[in-house]
Parts: sequence; C-alpha cells; structure tokens
Amino acid sequence: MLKLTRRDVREISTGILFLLPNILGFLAFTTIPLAISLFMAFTDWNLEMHNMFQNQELRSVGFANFKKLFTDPDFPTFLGNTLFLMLGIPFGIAGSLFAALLLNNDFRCSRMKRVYGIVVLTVVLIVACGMLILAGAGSTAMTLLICGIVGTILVLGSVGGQTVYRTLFYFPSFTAGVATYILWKKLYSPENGPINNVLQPILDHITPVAASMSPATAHVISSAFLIVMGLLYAYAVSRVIVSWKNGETGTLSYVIALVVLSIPMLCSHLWCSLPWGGALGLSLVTLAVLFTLLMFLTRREYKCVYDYGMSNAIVLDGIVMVGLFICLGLSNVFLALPEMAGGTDGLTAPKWLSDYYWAKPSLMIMGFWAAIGSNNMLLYLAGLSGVSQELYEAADIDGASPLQRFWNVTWPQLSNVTFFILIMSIMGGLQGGFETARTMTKGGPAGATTTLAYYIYSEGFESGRLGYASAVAWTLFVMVFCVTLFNWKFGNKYTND
Amino acid sequence: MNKILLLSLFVLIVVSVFTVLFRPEAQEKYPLLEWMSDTNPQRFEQAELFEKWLKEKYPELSADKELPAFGIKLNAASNQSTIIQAVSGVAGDLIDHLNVPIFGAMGLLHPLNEDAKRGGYGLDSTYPNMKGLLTYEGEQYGYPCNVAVSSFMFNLNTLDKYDVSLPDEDWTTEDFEEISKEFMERTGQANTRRTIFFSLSAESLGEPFIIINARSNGIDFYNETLTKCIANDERVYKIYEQLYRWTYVDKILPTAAEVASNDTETGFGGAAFTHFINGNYATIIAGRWALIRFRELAASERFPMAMTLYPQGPFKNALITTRATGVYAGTRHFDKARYFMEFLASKEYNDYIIKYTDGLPPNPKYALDNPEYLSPKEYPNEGNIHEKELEYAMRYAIPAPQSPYFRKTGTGWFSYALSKVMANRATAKEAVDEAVTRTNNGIAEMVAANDKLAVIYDRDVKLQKKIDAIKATWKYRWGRVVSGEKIPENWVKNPFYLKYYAHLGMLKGAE
Repeated sequence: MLKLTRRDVREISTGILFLLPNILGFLAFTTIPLAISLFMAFTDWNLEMHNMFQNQELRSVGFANFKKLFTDPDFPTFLGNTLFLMLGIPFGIAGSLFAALLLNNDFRCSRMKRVYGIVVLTVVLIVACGMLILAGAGSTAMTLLICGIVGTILVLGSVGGQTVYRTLFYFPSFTAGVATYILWKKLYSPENGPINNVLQPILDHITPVAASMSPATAHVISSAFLIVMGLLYAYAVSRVIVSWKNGETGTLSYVIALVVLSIPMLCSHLWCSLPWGGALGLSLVTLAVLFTLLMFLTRREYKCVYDYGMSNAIVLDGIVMVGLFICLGLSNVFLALPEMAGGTDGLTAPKWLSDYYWAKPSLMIMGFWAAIGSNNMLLYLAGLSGVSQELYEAADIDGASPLQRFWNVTWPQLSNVTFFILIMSIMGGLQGGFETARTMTKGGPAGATTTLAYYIYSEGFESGRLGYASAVAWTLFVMVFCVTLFNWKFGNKYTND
Repeated sequence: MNKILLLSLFVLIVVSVFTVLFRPEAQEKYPLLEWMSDTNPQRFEQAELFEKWLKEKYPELSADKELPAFGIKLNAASNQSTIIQAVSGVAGDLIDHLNVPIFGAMGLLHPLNEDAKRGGYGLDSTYPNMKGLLTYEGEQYGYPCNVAVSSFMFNLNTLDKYDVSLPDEDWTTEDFEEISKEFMERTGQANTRRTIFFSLSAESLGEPFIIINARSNGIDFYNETLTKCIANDERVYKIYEQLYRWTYVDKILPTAAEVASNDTETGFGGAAFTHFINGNYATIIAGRWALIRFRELAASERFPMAMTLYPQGPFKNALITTRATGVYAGTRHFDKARYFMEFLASKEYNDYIIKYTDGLPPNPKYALDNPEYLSPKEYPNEGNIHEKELEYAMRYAIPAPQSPYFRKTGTGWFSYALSKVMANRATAKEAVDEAVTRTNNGIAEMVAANDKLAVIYDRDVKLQKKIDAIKATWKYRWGRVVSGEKIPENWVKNPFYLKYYAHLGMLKGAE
C-alpha cells in the first residue's frame, strides 16, 4: 500500500488548493447547473410560479415535459429546421478540404507578373471607387469593386504565398460572429443587396426565354432532371455495391450508404411535381433493396470489417444525397418555370431571409462560407502534412493523374480526419443555429429558422418554462450523445479505408 | 509553492477590497436607488429632476441641505433581462415594464394600494381604463411613467405631394384600402423598386391592428371573464386575410422583403421613423413619444403632422399602453422608493413629460386644458397630435387583451399566426385556430399548475356560464343587440367588454 509522508500530504494539499478555484468554478457553473437542469426537466418549474418571491410548490411531473415535447407541433418543425441546416455539412467538409488542398500549394509567381498584377489591380480599384463616388453607377461599379477585391487577394497571394491565403481563409473563424451575420444580412438584402444586384439582371435576361418556353419543353427538361437523379442514384448505389464486393466497404457502412442515398428518392414520392417521379424513386429504391438482399445471399470476393469505409459512406454519399435533392428541386423548378416567368414580376431573385422557403438555404449558404475556412481547414492542412510523400511518388511512378492521386492517396489517407470533422460538425450542427437565428431572423419567418438551440432559449428565457426548456435541452443532449457514441464506436480507426 | 499560494491569496484579497471600496456606488455622496428602465436619454434628466423635487418637497429627509436624501441610478435593461434579474433576486429597486400586472402576478412587485392612496398615485390619478395595466387581483403594482395611445400619425407634406387628403377620424378599413391604392398609384412605382408607401407593413401593423379591428366589430381575443380565448371567429379571420391581400394581392402594404431592403436602422424609432421623415411612409403608428425624434430636426426640416384613430369598424376604440414603474418586491428601500412613485404623479414630473413629449403625462389633469400641452408654441407643425392622443386616451382607449390565466411572456401566438399567414404557411382560419388552441392549452396548463389560480379560475368559469346564459337571451337586429337581460358590471373582467356592453346598454350595476 502506498504510504504518504507528511511532505506528500502537504504537497497534495497545496496542489488541491491551487486547483480549488477551477474546481469550484467547474462545480458552480457546470456540474451543479447540469444536475439541476436534469432535475428541472422532470418538474413544472416555471419562472412565473417558482421564483424567490412565490411560494408555489414545485411539482414533479415525471416524463410529462418529454411527452409534451413529442406531441408539440413545433418540435418536429424545429428539429426539421436543425436537420435541414445540417444538410450543408457534407458541402462544408468538401469545401474545407478543397481549401486545404489549395492552400497546401505555393502560389508565388515571377516578379514581372506581380508588377503587372499590381498595376492592373490598382487601375480597376480606382475606376470602381471613382464610379461609385462620382457616377453612382450602382451594380456595375459594385461588380468592378468585387473584381478589384478578388484581384487584390490574387496579387497578395502571388506576393506573399500561401501564408496570405491561409490567413484570409481563416478570417471567418476569428471574426466576431455577430459582425459577420450583420454583414450577411446586408448581402442578402432583397432589393439592394449585392447578391441580388448581381442575380436580378441575370434573371431579367432569362425571364423572356423562360416565359416563351412551352409546357412540353418544361416537362421534358423537368423529366431530364429526374432521369439524371435516377442515374446518379443508380451510379452511386452501384459504386457502393462494387466497393462492398471488393472489400473496401463494410456491411454496416454499405447499409448506411444505401439509407443516405435513398432518402431523396423516397422524398421524391412526396415532393416531385411530375406524376411518375415518385414511382421512379420508389422503384429504384425497391430495386436497390432487392439487389442488396440478393447480394447478402451470395458471397463476397473480399471481406472486411463491418464498419470499414464509414467516412466514405457518410461524407461522399452525403454529398451525393444533397446532389439528388438538388436534381429533384431543379426538376420541380423547371416544370413551374414558364408559369413563374410569365407572371407579372417575371423571375425575381430570392427574398432570402424574408422568405419562408429561402430563409433556411440562406443560413446554410452562410454556414458553408464559414465552414470552408474554419478549423476544419486547419485540421485538413495538418492531415495533409502527415501524408507520406512516398505514396505520391509511388502514384507518380504508376502514372496516376492528379485526380487519381487525390482519389487513391490523399482521400484515403485523410479519412480519419474526415470522420472526426464529420462527427464534430454533426454535433455542432445539432447544437447550432442560435446566434444566426437571434441576430438575423429572430427564428422567423413563421419559425422557418428556429432551431432546437433557439427553441431552448426561447422557452427558457422568454417564456420562463425552465422545466420544459430543460427537457428539450436533455433531448438534444441524447441526440448529441448518440452521435458521440457513434464516433466512439467507429471513429479514428481506419486511416486507409 | 506555499508562498506563491499565499501571495496569490493576498493579491486577490487586496484587489477585492479595492473593488468594493472604489465601486461607483461607494463614491456617491448620497445613497442611490436603482431604476431599471429603457435606454431613453431623457431618463437621466428625469432622475435629476427627481433629486431636485425630493430636495424641495421633503427637505427634512436630508441632513445636508445641499444634497438630496437619496438619488436615482439608472440601469438600462431589456424586458427579458429585467425578468431574469427580478426572479433571481437581483433586480433594481424600481422596475419599469410594459406589463406590470404580470410582474405583480409573479410576485415580483411590491403591492401599492395603501401607499398609492396616501401618496396620491392611485388609479384615480391616471387615465380611465388603466386598471388592467396596473393591477392584478385588485392590487395596484405600478404607476405610469408615461402613457401612449399609438395611432396613425401622418406626414402631411407626403400626403400633399401625392395629392391625397388626410383621412377622416371615422375612416374604415375600406377607406384605408381605397386611400392606400390611390396613394400607391400616384407614387408611380408600378414598374420600379418601391421605396414609397402609404403605411407600414402588415407585420408592423401587427397585433394592435388586428385587436382594434376585431374589437371594433364586437369581438375580443378573450371572453368576458378572460378564462378562454375566443378569437376563432370569422371577424378575426377576415382581418388576417385582409392584411395578406393588401400586401400580396393589392400590393398596398410593403412586403417583408421591401422592409428589409429599405432598412436603415438609424436613430430612435428605427427605419420607419427615418422613412416617415423622408416622406417614404405617409403614415406610421406612433404616439407623442415619437416627437422626441422629430423635434431633433432643424426648424427648416420639420414637417406638418396630424393624427387619426386606426381605420376600423363601428365601435371606435384604441389601445392604451404604459411603461409603468413598480417597486421591486426584493428591495430593501421601499421607504425611499415610495417617494419616487409619488414623484411620478407630481406636477413637476408631468410637466417634464408634457414639455419633452415622452408620451402622455401619467396624470391627465396636468394636460387637460393646458395650452402648453395642447399646442406647444415652438412646434406648430405637430398639429392635432397632442389633443387627439389625449382625447383617445380619455375616450376610446382600452388595454390590450390579457388574461391572468395566460401570461404572454414568450411567443405572441397571434403575431406568429400572422407570420404564418404572410408566409403562406397557413390560411387565416388555420393560423388563428392554432393560436387559439395554443392559448387555451396555455390557460389549462397554467391553471393546472397553480392551485391559487385554479380557485379564481373556477370562480370565473362559473361567472362565464352565467354570462353566457344571459347572452343567450339577447335578441339581435342587423347584428346589433336590441333587447335582452343585462349583465352585472362586476361579472365582466375583460376591459373591452365592460366598455362595449356599456356602449350597447347591456350592462347593469354590480350584483
């Protein structure tokens, strides 16, 4: 048995005394509130009745708050909003990987090119500013100014190399959130925001063409998008099947990939405007399921662990899933295009945050922008520096193209980083949306951007129903915990999958 | 190691002592009461005025004749932070709120009945119909700092520019529609980006417009005893449909997108006031309080203004609101805070409000027949605003619907319903029915959780049954009650029905 001398005891006590402020802080502001919130979730704690001036008895309500939550018509809507915003995650990951790949190169160019660049850029900027100040040439000058800014970035990159780009790309992460949200609010201004200033003239040009489109043409284009959707689904499923047969994907990963890919096809049954679209989706999914069952009955050529290839299954198929949704959306849009363009206003740019249907995508686009240059990019940069150069040399000897180098060396080598980023993004996504909703939309219009995090805040601190808000918070915790368990089980295992 | 620990501890103690000794409160020459109010810069002057008033009216309270016995320290707090601080026991001594009865019901304010009588700041020293805004279960919990009966305020230059005449006092929603169409046509913006509008957007007109119009047609959100939400009525659906139609079909109101595009976010009153000044909105919803902003303009930039009631149906009404002050239940200085409440009813304070237009003065006796109030010489451009708002407060005003069994501290379900209708997410009927269901569910939850409230609720439900039985005897002609038994006045808790039934002659003395 370990014997402690008086000196040991004294040193341990001193250590504990040093740690005490932190321990007390952790207890007071984390552990105890956490325990109290769990207790609150099972009570009818309401600030109106239970505060230091009201002696109303606090009642235990068992699981009533949770029951209310699952029967509350708002909860599925707000959970849906949260999940919808999370659809941008695969694109955010792809964007940050792309940024990391770009920033892993050096962009410095020759001295003469730099000088030419600086001269051209200075002229563009001066002309743009002059037009804005003197002539008030709205969108033209704004476009020039944007070109000038882009040019500045390119020239700076050619002078300063990757350090400049890394700093610029990381900008969104160290800029105060509220400031960027206000900036985006201005960008999204429906009538005079820079985005619509660029978009509306384009739509004005498209309007007469779209309006003159016959319903039959619209039908054909709409059908074409549905067919593309079907083909994309078939291709993605076949890739997954081949990968499973070759032992590059485990059975569980295969099933998850199939589920992820099939979601848009099943949704087409509900959302597709073409009468046969739903039937197409259902038949393709049925075929895929039947084929899977058939395959399970036959033996695989190569076998692997059941959860092998999980990150591919989620990230790549997640991107395909969003692509399938886009095809579905475009199919519906083209079918309605002649009618939309033929209206009194013609084709109008989205109303972004003011429109129920565009508010969520607006926040998603902003999230995508923020995700590209976020910590994810840094993680990928760190991951890229760890990829062995010998693998690239071997690929070069085999005559691999740049795409093949990426697909067969970089991507598999980064799979553990990808998986970590994916899980952290999902957890962040479930808990996110509060700041944007509070700053930009107040959860509206008509609750379109109210996420679970904002709902907890609104129930707890606006309505004062602390018991109910705690129940929502703990339900969210269970969701996040499930994702964490998933990460625990499958994360960081296979670098080469 | 021990020495470092002891040194750290010593530094912490010294810093703590210095913090306590040199905190702003400790530097004051006299004690201060904390007043949680809004961010209006006039509050500072009002606090100074109080100190002067106290020194002059109660010199015996102060040992030093040069100094007041105590003063006021302002703490600008939003409604939400006020509520959080109050329930946590750390709010200021005096609390301003737009919904004092809720604070009273939550036990956060000191009851004032007795002291209000002694100090001259009881209900009899303010406007009629203020009871619902200051009391809960017969107990007074606050006194107004200022009062507002926000109505349609017009920029007459804008009307002149587009050759549209000022609407009559009795204008209806049909008149509103006609005038708006005429105005919008004359602005000639059919094929351009619209920046000039007759009125605010449907969302900005919002609940007050819906309430006033519903009431003008004889229906309120709650029944007579405030025990049930009854807004699921054709008359209410029609108003929601009208707002949608005006925005997206007739295009006479700005859409949410147009409002967002024209957002300037500048100054007190926000973008709408800026647009009103610039002639981009012919009318806004405001009261005298808005003149704080308009008086900041140079004399050459001032424009003539006028005020009318909301366009509405046959029973003319308006909404009265107040930012009232109450004494925090957790204060250790009630003996001092009561002087501030008395100050709010004093001539000095009311004259200040009259002079600097921070709403209507809390005590109307200082405004009635006061030429300084009715027509301030320096500001002839303000037209009939002062006279009209006072008249509305005395004659038409009723507080917004508020049930003691459903405390609207969170989402406003009727505003949410409007946002659903405007976003095409629901029909007017679906959205309003949902709001009614949510409100009635809220009432049921509240009553089930609160034993004391349940007793009062049961009593009121029984009264409601009696009222319903009486109403069943009423005979109508052209939608108007012509005969039937009268309802005893003391059975009716809803201030709207008290006024409406009195107007119909269907109310009798207390039973």
